[in-house]
Amino acid sequence: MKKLVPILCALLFPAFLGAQAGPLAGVDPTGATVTFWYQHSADRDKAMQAMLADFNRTNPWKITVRGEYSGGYDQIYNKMVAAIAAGKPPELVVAYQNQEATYDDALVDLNPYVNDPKWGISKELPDFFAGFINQDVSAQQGGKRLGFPPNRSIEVMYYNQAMLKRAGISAPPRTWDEFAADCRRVTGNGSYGYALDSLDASHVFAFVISRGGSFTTPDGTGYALSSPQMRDSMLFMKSLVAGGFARKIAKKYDDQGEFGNEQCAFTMSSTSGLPFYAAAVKAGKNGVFPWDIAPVPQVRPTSQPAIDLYGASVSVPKTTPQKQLAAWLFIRWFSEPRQQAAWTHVSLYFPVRKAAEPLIKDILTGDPHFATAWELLKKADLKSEPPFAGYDLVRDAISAAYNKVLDGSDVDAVLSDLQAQAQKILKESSP
Amino acid sequence: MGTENRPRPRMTPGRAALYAVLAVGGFLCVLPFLYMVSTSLKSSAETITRTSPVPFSPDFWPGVFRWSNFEEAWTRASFSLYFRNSIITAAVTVAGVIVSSSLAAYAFAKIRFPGSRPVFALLLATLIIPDSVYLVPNFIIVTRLGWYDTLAALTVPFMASAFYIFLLRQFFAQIPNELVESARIDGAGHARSLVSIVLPLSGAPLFTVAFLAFVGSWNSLQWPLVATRTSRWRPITVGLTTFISDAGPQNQLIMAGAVIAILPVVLLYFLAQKQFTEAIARSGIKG
Repeated sequence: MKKLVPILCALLFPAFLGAQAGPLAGVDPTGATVTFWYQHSADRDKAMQAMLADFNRTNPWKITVRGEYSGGYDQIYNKMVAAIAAGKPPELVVAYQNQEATYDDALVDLNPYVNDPKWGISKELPDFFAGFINQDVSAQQGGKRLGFPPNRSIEVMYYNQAMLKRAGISAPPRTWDEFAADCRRVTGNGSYGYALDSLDASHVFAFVISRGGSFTTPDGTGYALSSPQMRDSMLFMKSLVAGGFARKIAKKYDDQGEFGNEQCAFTMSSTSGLPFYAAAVKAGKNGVFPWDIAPVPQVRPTSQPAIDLYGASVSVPKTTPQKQLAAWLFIRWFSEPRQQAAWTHVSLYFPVRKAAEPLIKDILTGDPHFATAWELLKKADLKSEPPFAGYDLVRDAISAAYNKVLDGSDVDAVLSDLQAQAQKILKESSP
Repeated sequence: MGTENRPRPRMTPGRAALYAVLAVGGFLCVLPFLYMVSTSLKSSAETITRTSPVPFSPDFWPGVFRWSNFEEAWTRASFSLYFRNSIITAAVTVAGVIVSSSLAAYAFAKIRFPGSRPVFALLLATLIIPDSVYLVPNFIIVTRLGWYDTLAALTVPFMASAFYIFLLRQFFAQIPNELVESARIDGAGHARSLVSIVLPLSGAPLFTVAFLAFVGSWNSLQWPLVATRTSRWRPITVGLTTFISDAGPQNQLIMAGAVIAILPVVLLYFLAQKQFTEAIARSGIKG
């Protein structure tokens, strides 16, 4: 027996060491205060505050998370840039992947937290949608995980079933050729096919990936904005606008009114807009009509459409090990199925975990459009926009280029200029 | 008094054409305001169904005027708090601007000191720096002074402005030096000359500077969001942003909030209109 003790010690000591090793060894989050800058306003702000109160009341470490509405995404970005420079960042902040890339060294790599044997969630990772969970891991940042998804949405096509039926169309278009044909058939008597939002580069991304293209080079190190898919996408929309089958909207969200008033048969937007389109249909001039959502048309029929994945993540700026761990524990708590389901009930964003599905059954049965979107999510080939630092500026350049082409400029010259601009921005913004 | 005896100008075809052009221009300027007011009185549904941009169309106006939108905007976005904050912030900023700008303008206009011209030129050169460039340094200074989320953070950084100094300096320079020198012969110092001679003769430009500083403070959004973390000192512009969500706006409440937000500015402009135009004319600034 005496001989067994040292052997057991020798066997167990490395295991003990393993539990304590790593960057989180010895860190105690007890009593930490976490400031969380987010974009949720009005009702969502209230709901988030209620969830924060729940966390603050129930977490065993007596961590306090203080949520602060800090404006929209752009305003939070500006605030973060200033706060990082001043050395006063919050402990938790909402950020898109390209913004994470800009903050870069000011953020904590969450990989050690995700994989930590004590505080991590490595066993639960398979329950997360792979497209969601990998979105914040960037090759440009050497594989660091600079954020974690609290929720997501996808780009879809909203379509007016009644208008299609009146035009003799039985199903939504699956390909761009069908889409063009349907737009032509529904146009007339003051109505037209597609309410085109030329102000948001995400739509262009959705079109490009639907044709098998990308905004980036195959190795993911640079932009590829003068690709044949980009050219085809822009020229396709230009031809629809020129023919009167698509019309540019004047300002963001105007397509909701056009759709609700049955002026257009199609529009493209995020699934997070579902309640707004439903409200627009309810308020429309012609009364309620049947409508639904479908995948953005593809270059050819497919059972796995390429779809643009939307949604900002939450990132943990570098502060102290105690606060960083406390911020991570809140993220972990928020990603649990119960909290995910609660947030979906408030926001109609998708939960990031499959285990939340039984908890949102009431939405899936009560809201057929959300149910369609949920099923679409499961089979889609999810694609993310470039997570490059400076991508916000490139987005503006893409929108400007898109408008130039729609207004008649030479597509090759415009895209060549766009590609040069984007590469210049990438070079200047890269860490 | 003078206007009563002034003969009415004869209406010639040229004058009629001029009036017509001015009327069209005036109408185009007023149109966005009319649209804002009409939208602020619509129901949520009407912001989708009644969207004509032409005021002569019935669809430009709401079917039923919903005055309750103003009440809803006021209560849902905590406008009473934001409104109070905006008033206090603007008032403190205006006071600081008037004091600092008049002192600096007097020095540049009436005191000869070595390097005054290069220093003034340097001051004017700061006008070409975009406001966004100041964001980070201002934030660093404010946080190091411990002013984060305080009234001082929202007011002190904006109490000195090259443009206001320039505006006042141009006006002060037109006041005859003899007046200031006479006061100095009578024993008045520069401070007394400024307060007793120069400022009383400068009502119009001071009013203009006050008005512009007020509007600048009232309309600011980015800086208050950066420099605060709670609603304690956040202005009314922050309240307006709460009606915009990730996926759609509440147009009728945004417009009702906007009407509430611009009322003080419009009121102030009508009160200061005469002084404003006079000061612009006399400062030599061209639009």
